Amino acid sequence: MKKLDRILVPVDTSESSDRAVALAGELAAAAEAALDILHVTYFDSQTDDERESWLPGIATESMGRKAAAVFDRVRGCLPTGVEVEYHQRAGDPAAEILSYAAERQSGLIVLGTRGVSVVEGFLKGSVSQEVLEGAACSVLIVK
Amino acid sequence: MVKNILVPVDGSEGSDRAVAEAIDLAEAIGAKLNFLYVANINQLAINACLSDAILEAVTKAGNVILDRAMEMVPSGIEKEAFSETGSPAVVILDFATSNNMDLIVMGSRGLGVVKGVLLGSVSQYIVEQSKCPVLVVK
Repeated sequence: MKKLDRILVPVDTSESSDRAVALAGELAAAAEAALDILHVTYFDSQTDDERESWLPGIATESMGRKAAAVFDRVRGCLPTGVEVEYHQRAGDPAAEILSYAAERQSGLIVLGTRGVSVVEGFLKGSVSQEVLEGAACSVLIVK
Repeated sequence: MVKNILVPVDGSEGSDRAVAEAIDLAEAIGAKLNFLYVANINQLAINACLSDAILEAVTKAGNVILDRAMEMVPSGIEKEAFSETGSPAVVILDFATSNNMDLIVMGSRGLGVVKGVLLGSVSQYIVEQSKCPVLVVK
């Protein structure tokens, strides 16, 4: 299975994200593919590099810890023996996911819909929609 | 565990790519392939005015598409072909639910005529409404 060398799984702390990780882990184990776990936040400590930051500490300083918590959660959903790499980026989630997928030449993106940050009926699944439309590779949508 | 993969087929290029990717996947994870062709005809229209000749032609066209998909599957992978009539998106979702499908693999665009839309209307509807995971093949 040549196409499934690398599977990209963008994650957050939602249950659909957990299910996406579990399914991607199952596929990766079966196809002997490597997993790239990506966590995108809107801000990090580099976002505002003026002397005096206007961003509240909660939006920047805790980011490393927050990503670590997300990755811990991911580890709990994965089968053992799967090759995994963890990455985090700051910026617009859909744009970061798409550029990351292009750089790493991901063969498949596995994406949970309806993250915690999503307001039902307003932004419902807009990130997954953008990724689905913009991705060069196939996209697996998990509810 | 993914045991049953549903692959809706319509004979389009996108559907062919979906079949190919579904076969790779089924082979890797040891799942069964279920190909579904949906003839886009309203049951009332069938009863009211469609002649047997038209029905036969539609059925035949569907069988050709299903046969082609079935022939692409290497031996050793479990496979089955199904044919239904009705509105494709609705029938596909009903089929997935009532037959306990674990995954739907489909093309991003089918035979629809609207150009410039990235995701076909059937794929869009299924991605939004499906209870099981949907793999959209580019």
